[in-house]
Amino acid sequence: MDLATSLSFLYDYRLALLTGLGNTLYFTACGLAIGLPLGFIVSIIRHTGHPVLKVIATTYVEIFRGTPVLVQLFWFFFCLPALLGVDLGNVTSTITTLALYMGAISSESCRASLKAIGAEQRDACIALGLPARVSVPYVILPQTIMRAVPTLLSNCVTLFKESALVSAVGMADLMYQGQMIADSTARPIEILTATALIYFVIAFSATRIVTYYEQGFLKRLKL
Amino acid sequence: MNGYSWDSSVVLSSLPQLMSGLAVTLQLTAICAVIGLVGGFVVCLMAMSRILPLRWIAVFFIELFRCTPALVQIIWIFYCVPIFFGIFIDPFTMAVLALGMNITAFNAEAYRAAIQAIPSSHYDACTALGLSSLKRTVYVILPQAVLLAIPVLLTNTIGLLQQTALVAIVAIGDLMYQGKSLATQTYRPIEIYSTVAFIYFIFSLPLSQVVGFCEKRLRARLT
Amino acid sequence: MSSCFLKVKNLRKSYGLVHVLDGMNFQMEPKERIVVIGPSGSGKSTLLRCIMGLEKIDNGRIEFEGARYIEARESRRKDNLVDTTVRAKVGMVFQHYTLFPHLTVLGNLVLAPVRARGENRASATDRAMQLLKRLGLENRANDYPGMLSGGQKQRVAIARALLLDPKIMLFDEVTSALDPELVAEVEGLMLELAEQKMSMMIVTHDMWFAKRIATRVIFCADGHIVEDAPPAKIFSDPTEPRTADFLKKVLHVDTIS
Repeated sequence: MDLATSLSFLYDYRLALLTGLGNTLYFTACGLAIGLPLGFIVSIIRHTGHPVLKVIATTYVEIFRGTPVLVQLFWFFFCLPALLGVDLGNVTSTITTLALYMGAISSESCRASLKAIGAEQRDACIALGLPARVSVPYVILPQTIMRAVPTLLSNCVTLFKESALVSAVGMADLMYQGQMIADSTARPIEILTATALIYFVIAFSATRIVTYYEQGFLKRLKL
Repeated sequence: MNGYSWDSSVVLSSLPQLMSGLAVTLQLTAICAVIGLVGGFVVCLMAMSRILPLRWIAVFFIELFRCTPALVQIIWIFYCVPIFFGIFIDPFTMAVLALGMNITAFNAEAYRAAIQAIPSSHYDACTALGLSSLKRTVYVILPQAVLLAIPVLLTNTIGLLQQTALVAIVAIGDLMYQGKSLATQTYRPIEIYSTVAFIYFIFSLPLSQVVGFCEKRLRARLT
Repeated sequence: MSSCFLKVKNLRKSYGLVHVLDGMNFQMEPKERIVVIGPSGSGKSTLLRCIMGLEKIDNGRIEFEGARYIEARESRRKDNLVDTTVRAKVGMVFQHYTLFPHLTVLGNLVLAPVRARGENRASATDRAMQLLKRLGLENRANDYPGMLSGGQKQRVAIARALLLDPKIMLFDEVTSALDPELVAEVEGLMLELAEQKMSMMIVTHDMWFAKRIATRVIFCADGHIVEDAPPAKIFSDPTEPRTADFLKKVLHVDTIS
């Protein structure tokens, strides 16, 4: 087993791996697109909301943080259709699960960010006579987002990694392709290492961007 | 819900099997948690050491296990370690290896962040008091670092509990695995998976409350 | 109802079991400059915050320019009546400036006039730039607060409040967090405002500044007003022993002859 053989072997399967990667990125992107705004809304509800809404929001967050993503996926794939009597389709179920999970973890990040902004900003808004319709979009929101970006980016990377689980419910993502090829060719080392490497490169780059953002942007604004 | 009827008898009759799965889950979590707490600390020290090769190994280890999905790690170890080393290791041990190294990497980061959060004024005070570097580390830095790291370490342990569900994919008989097989046997996925989710939840919830409690106490004690 | 400027009656506020404000009563005429002094925890900041409407009061009544401003009754727990049109006439500056860090200096100044009061952006910018020019800060208009010194930040905070044309300005220990050499520029601005006859209530630890700016000094302790007199009188010949005690500690000067 020399390097040249391994590389040519991988090259033969590049299409399958790339398709898998494409699906992984697609699922992740959809999960993020829905989950991030959801997380922000949930964090605002938990911070300053109607007591009943607060309870619902907190329950949602605790459930999705307190159960394995794998269980969530299985539940949405096999239980929800039976409950609702309608089949959502695999892609919808996948994206829904990932989005709801992302909403839960990102709401925690936004909540921490909201708390960190401090009562002083609220005081300044009242002293200036800014009503909520002005203070939220122009003062609270921008600061919350700017502060929360490092943690949120970290959450995005987490979702990217958790997306590998959709292979367990038969979705043809990168992990699924890797496993399939490994099973069918009995050459797991090359293919699984390549799979791991692809995940690694993407996740590692993303985390470097986070550090760069923290050092540069936030420091300059002294947020 | 369109007239779906919940069948509690299924839940009751499946409890014994689920409990045996839970035992495996808890065993796995406990062993890996201990490995993670100790190993994380060791790796952290290595990552901060002045001996460059040690530092490189530690940093490589941390980044590798933090930037790849846990599932990929488990599958890689299951498929490749037997081939690489030509020996047979039982599945449970391989799972311990995979999850243990995973949480070690995350805990190492937690310890590192805690150590860096200790203000430099403490170091200055130690110098002013004439404490040697070793004494300073043992009596001042370490205790504070561990205290500061506790919330994150606990959160990582909760995450570990959720991660153990992944071993079901490699046919280790944990809670998730038993749930999967029961769901297919009984054709009642809703009752089974909801129960499984609930069991994970009731173990995670108290721990996350403890985290919140610890954070409050720490903030009060250390400010 | 006398149409006096500011009237505080029976103001009570507790945090849990601690009575921070325990029946405060006083009146204020326009153009007065009241400095509130007293030991920590005596309720000085809380008094200002209640007048600004930042805290809910437990009991009492605050009238401003003869109109009902804030009112609450112990029996109707925490049910404050706050007239927000009256509140718009009160301006406040805080110890920690609380400028909005994500907006430029100019952005900070025009946010309230434009977004909350519907003023035209061009005219608000004009007024803001004029104010900045008066303060000598016009070349900082497009800088972010993070780039300013403490004294500059505080002066911008004062400008931000002034831009809303308040009838009374409340200053809550605005120089306490500043380096000593930056204190003068902020106090200088406040003295300028005093010359323009702005009505003020000031909480400060700086007794020398209090002597210079106050028309009236109120000494608070344990949530009550202990003594209320012009600065000349209170600093050199206080009536109450409590006041004398406090001043002795703070000024290191024996005022009881």
